[in-house]
Amino acid sequence: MRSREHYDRLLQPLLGRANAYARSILRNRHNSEDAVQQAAMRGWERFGTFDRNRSFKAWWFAILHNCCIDIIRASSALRTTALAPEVIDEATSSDDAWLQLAGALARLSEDHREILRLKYFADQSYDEIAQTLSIPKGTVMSRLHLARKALAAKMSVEES
Amino acid sequence: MRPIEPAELSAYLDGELAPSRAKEIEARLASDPALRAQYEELRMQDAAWMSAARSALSVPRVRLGPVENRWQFGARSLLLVGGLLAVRLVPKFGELVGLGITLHLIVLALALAWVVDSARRPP
Repeated sequence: MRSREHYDRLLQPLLGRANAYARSILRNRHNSEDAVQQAAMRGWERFGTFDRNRSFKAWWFAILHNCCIDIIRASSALRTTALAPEVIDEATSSDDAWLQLAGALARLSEDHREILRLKYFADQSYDEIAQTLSIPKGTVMSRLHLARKALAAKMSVEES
Repeated sequence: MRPIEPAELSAYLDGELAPSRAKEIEARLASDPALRAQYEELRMQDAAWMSAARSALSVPRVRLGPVENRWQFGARSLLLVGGLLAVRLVPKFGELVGLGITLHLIVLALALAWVVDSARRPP
């Protein structure tokens, strides 16, 4: 029997990171909260099929990623906002570091962007990233290294 | 000692290497200033990105819909059992056939709603 309390206990510690991760994709505070809410509901609906041998965090973040994609697809206006690197809608944010990181991430390839999001925003381990992306752990190591190099290059361009 | 791959330095920073390999890299870092400088640059970048990512942290409130607690479950069970008993008793009063049919329908609707509701819940 998998209870609501059990699901809540697993979910609650992830919510802060989940919101940061969703925000890194959607670049919009309200939409990221909507995505987290939708993922919480969808995760609960599917909790019965969750394989206990897998990481709950990896399983749930894959659901959250899909919810973010659904939100992007549902709104053509949002699609422009989320995918065009030139457009940053965090106008209310006063955090330069966050804006700079989000801007540089938007200019990376999807593979590099996603693995960096999982590492820095979702705070996932290599095992969890491997499960979320369905790739071997060795690939996580090499891809993350290349993604870091690419991000450092973009950040130095942003700074200059 | 086998050469250190650049990706291994990243993994060392993340604490993701096997303990034996991590010790080898630690020893090399202590004796190789160029590698040490490379590692320090990586470490500082990582700390800056980690800090930028943390600045986006905020915990949203999520709702999963109403929860049926044990009292609600008990009340619903009691209603269903009570309804079934009433259906068994009413036909004995002959002329109350109409009431018996109504009770049958109510109990049937309750049972159906319960079955549908249970099917929608994760196991």
